[in-house]
Amino acid sequence: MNRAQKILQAYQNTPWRQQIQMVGSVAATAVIFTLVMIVYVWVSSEAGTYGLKVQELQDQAQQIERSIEDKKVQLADLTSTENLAERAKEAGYEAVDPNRIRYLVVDGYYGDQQLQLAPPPNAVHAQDQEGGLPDAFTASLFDWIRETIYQLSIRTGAVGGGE
Amino acid sequence: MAVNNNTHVRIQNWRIQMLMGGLVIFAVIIFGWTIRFQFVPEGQEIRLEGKDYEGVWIDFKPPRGPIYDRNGHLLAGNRIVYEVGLELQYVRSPEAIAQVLNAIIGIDYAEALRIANIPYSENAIYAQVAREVPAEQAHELQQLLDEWRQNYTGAKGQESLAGLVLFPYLARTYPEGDLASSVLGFVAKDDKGYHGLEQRFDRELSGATRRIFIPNNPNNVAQLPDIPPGASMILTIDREIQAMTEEILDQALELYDAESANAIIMDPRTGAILALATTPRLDINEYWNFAEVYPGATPFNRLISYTYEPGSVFKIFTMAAALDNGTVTLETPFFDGGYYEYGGIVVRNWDRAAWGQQNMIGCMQHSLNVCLAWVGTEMGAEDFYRYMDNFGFGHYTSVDLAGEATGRLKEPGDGDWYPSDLATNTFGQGVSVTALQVITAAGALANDGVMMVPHVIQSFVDNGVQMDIRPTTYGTPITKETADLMTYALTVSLENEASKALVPGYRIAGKTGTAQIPGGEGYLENKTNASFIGYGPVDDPQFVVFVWLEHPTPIWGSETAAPVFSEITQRLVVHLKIPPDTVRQQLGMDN
Repeated sequence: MNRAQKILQAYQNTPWRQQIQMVGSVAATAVIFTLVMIVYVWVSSEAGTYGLKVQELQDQAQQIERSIEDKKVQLADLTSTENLAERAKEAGYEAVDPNRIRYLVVDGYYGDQQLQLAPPPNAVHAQDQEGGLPDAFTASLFDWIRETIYQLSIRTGAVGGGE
Repeated sequence: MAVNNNTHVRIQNWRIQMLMGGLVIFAVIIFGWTIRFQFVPEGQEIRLEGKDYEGVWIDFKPPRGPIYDRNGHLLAGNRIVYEVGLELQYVRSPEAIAQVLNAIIGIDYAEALRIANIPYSENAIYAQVAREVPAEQAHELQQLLDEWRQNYTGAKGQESLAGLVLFPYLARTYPEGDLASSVLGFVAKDDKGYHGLEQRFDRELSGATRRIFIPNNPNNVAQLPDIPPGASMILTIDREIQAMTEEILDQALELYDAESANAIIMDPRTGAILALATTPRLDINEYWNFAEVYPGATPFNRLISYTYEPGSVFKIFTMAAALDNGTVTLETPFFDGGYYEYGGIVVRNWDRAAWGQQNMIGCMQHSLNVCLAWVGTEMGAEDFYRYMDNFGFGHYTSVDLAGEATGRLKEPGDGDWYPSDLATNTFGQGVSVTALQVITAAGALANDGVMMVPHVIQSFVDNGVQMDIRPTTYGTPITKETADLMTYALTVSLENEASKALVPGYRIAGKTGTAQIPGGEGYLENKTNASFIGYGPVDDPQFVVFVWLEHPTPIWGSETAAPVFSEITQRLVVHLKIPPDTVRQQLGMDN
């Protein structure tokens, strides 16, 4: 071992250097751990916030549904036979005298047709009914990373079926 | 010095090893403990207890399906009401809460105070105070709560409304009040349908309730599934015709001092019921008055649940049967001597008079019991009962309403049938029927001999798909020729006697009925069931109307039910846009 090697060895084995290495390793681990935790907490809080938002929207949807039902009844109240009769009376209408009725044949008029109630509109997210919420609301961080990498790799042609 | 250093290092290592060992043992104990809990009974309890904190199971009940009349007018819907309750752990001022509930919702103060004083415990977390609180009251209460929250500081002596909560939900409501109430039935506080359509189609209307787990952890949020609402119904009932009929019946009830006034209007071509009206009837928004409106065993819907002796309207079926099987023709002569002996009894006419020489039209026109008893006995019991059976008497009509009765048609072979029953049954005594059976059977006369199954439902709408109910044939008890003969006979007899049932401008076929009511011994004095069955226009029958007044004064159907029929029909033809006979002929609309 020449002198230069001895000095280098001595330098490498100095206690302060070992201490710095150890502290550095611990600090680096702590920083990485903290970063991961920060990301995890951030993602969790975001997911939680949106989760609450979803619950709020679900409550709102139910309120709207109740409101629609209630409004239908209010409309029916306003147009009930009793109310319409009163309004007609106030407006000066009176019951028709059968002798004053004139009947005409109107070509193409077939009288009252059978009532058809329009089918209710399909839910906007009908296609999600089986799968539940969109992935953005339920995926974990690792799912998101995996999916992002997968999508990037598709775009770059790294994976995926070729011809 | 070196020895000392080594000893010091060993001691340090020993301490570290002890510490590490201790930690490992601690970890092993904890691990073992958790493993143990997987198998001991307490572990199961703890797991279940833990589940309680994960979220809550909530029953999601879809809105009850609405009911519409044939033109899309809402007859039954859902309105927002509130449940008022107390979260007991937050209650601080029971007296203040009781006072507020008494003032705004009208709950008895003592009862409200009792509930507010229930001590919070594991078994008493929430107490329901009131349900079906109208929106106006709930909003007033909510406003008061909001004001209290703004002003509440928590200072000593300040009254607190903490714990008072409101939850909105949908409750059944009927915008038309008592209109067609006997058809609709009602939904009570227990969310169950009672009577009418609400009972008969309770499951379809209420839809499927789903129990869904809602996690407390928002990270585990789950989408609520789309819960389809209950099925909607479109009825054959026409709101305007129903309202008009009820209005006339209400007047008739007073005018004739009757116990009840009832009517059915049916399209004989399809069996669709356009109106089914009873008076008195219940405002189904206040169903708790049921016992007042229907005391004792009074049925909710007399027209389908109440059986009675029909009296002379039954003669049209006897005569139709006799014409159909060839026993008589309309010209068959009959000498009415005022009585007819058969099976050990003597049959007399309604006026106990002898009407002399008649033909079958005369028999129908004067409603001669003696003549009809002769016709029936000439036909023979076997044929007579076969025809009555085919007309549906003694059977369900299969109407789509809850609570239908069958009545009773005794037949040869039954233990309580006697030959004399044949004679009395021919003019509607000794046989019990429902009003719906009468109109359904009469439909055959108006519809070329074909009876249709009566129905009040035109369509169901379920999961966005409308299913229309096709008219169903009940049977063909008589031929078209017989139906035409009967229509002619009933038209002529009405016109000959200048009946009060006649409708200006329209030829109508019909028959009155004044049925005595059986009592303890024989028949009741001065109490009858007065009725009229009629249909028209006779060249193209588009409606059958049956009117039935219970215990009217005067007692005769010709004096009471017949004019009610006429009044209903005069307005009905306007609603149905049926021009008078002459106009239809001019316009080429007659058959």
